[in-house]
Amino acid sequence: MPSAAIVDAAVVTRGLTKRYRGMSAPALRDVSLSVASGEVVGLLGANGAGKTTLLRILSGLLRPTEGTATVAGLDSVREATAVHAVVGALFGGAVGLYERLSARENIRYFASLNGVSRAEIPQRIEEMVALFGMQAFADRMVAGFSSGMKQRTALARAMVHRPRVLVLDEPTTGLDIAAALVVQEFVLRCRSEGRSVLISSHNTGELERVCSRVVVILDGCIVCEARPGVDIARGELRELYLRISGEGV
Amino acid sequence: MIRVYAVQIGTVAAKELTELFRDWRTVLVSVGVPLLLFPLLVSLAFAASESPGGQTRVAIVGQDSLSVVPFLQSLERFTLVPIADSGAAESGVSDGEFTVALRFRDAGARIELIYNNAEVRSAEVAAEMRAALEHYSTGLAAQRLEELGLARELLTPLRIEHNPLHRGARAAGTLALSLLVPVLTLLAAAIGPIAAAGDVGAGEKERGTLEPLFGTCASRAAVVIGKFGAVTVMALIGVASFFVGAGLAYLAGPILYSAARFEFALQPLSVALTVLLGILTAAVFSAIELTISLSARSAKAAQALFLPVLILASAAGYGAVTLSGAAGWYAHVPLLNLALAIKASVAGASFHPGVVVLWAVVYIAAALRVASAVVQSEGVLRQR
Repeated sequence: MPSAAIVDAAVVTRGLTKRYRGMSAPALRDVSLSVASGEVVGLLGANGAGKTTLLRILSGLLRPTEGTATVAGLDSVREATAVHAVVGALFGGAVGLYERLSARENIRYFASLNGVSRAEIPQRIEEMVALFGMQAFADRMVAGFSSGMKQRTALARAMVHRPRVLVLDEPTTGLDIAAALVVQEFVLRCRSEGRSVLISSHNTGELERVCSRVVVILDGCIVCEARPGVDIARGELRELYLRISGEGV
Repeated sequence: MIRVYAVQIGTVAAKELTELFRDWRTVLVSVGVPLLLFPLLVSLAFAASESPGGQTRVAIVGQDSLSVVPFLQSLERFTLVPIADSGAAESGVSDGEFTVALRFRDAGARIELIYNNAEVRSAEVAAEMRAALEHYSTGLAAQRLEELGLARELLTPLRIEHNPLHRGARAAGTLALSLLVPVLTLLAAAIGPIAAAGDVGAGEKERGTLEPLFGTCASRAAVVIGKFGAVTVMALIGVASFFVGAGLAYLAGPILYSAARFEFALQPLSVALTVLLGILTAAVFSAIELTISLSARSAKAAQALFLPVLILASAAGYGAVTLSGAAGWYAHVPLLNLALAIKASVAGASFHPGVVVLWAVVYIAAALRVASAVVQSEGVLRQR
């Protein structure tokens, strides 16, 4: 019988293990994690630690080799399409946009594929354009965008179908300070709206600012969890990570 | 559920076409090149057929005592240039100063025809010259027989009557067209989708846009079919552009080059069947090339893999030209069956159209099945 906390959780993983073909070491090893509704959980770890693999499984893009993952009560493998409807994902920073389409066309395309009704799409696009302050460039081709403009468009595209859970993989990589702040403000807004967010980043200051909890992943395993401002003082996350990972030695 | 899939397929196809038409490289390869290729080739062919200065220069060496030179002059096809130096004839033909040379020996009774058999134009003119001289020689012999009181029919103990099955310029032109159209259709159908397939498959993979796309509620099979639809539209535009270009060259030939018009006659049913087979051929190549593109690691790798497809298309097209009276089992040979069916339909005949259409549908379904399996695999996502 699952506990009430797990039933309420937006994301639950149990014994999640992922082995890629041709790779000797698993990318994820026995990862169990739960994220409550309205919780923002940060994933901190070196490149190749397994953060992206975990987020891809939660987005229904990859199948775990062992274990299970549920998002909003939906199994990420058996109910992958339904999972896509409740997850808004952003992978690889500002890449992944169609450069020969305008920002508005990019958002419309994803709204349509995510099942937003034809009648509702124009209204949703306008909401996204207003939310991310894209009025000045919404009708321009993405090819000429700055990284910040691309990132806003990508976030708008990920949010257009009102997902309950947001999965953000290094969303501020390559962004200037102002653009990164837009992303951080957006995550804080999601938190205040009761949306669950999983965010991976190498920026400990950013994770401390936006996350209610940070999970440290090393070699595919969760090795530590900490609540900034509760378990550790703000500004100590970097120190903690370096101590655990041994990278600071 | 079917409606949801249909909306997804339509959405993907519409988006792909929007993007493809905004890419000038794709438009150039799919529309511009096929449209201009044929007129360009025809222009080059006409330019090559004209000798330098517009006339065929023939060197004449030695004494002509049988009025061969006046006969050749009367034909008005050759510019005859008498030269004194016998050795200069070979070197002149070799250098291209003369197309061929005639050296008169034994007081004009023996004529040596000097030509460059490594050069097409020289060999062609030599054949033309040989025919003219043989005609003149026969006339001369007939005249001598008559002078001796003998019938000139003695020269032709065998009389050959020509009885072709297809009479008239149009019939011959239609037959020629039935040889030309399969080759052109297969090549155009293979070339047409290359740029589009490369862009929507491997190109999208390379740009990292497949991952967010597969994170949507759209089924991956619907994504593949939508992309296939867009690629097929581009292929059809490519094939249509190719034939529009060919049509322009056909219309412009007599005007620009004073060429004789190549006449043909096509029945409406033949045209309809040929168009249907052309559409199917374009769809087959679109499905194959999209599958290759989605399987390739990069757009560059996809381009390399398209080459064997082009070779197979050429082989099938030329195979249909060389095969006459093809056996029934050829209807089961991939691509060749389409080429043979197109050849037959242009000629107003039929080559197992039902079987060929069925096989084309099977090829398309099989290719899309493989493409769907490819996009279902985890390997299709960019490794990070």
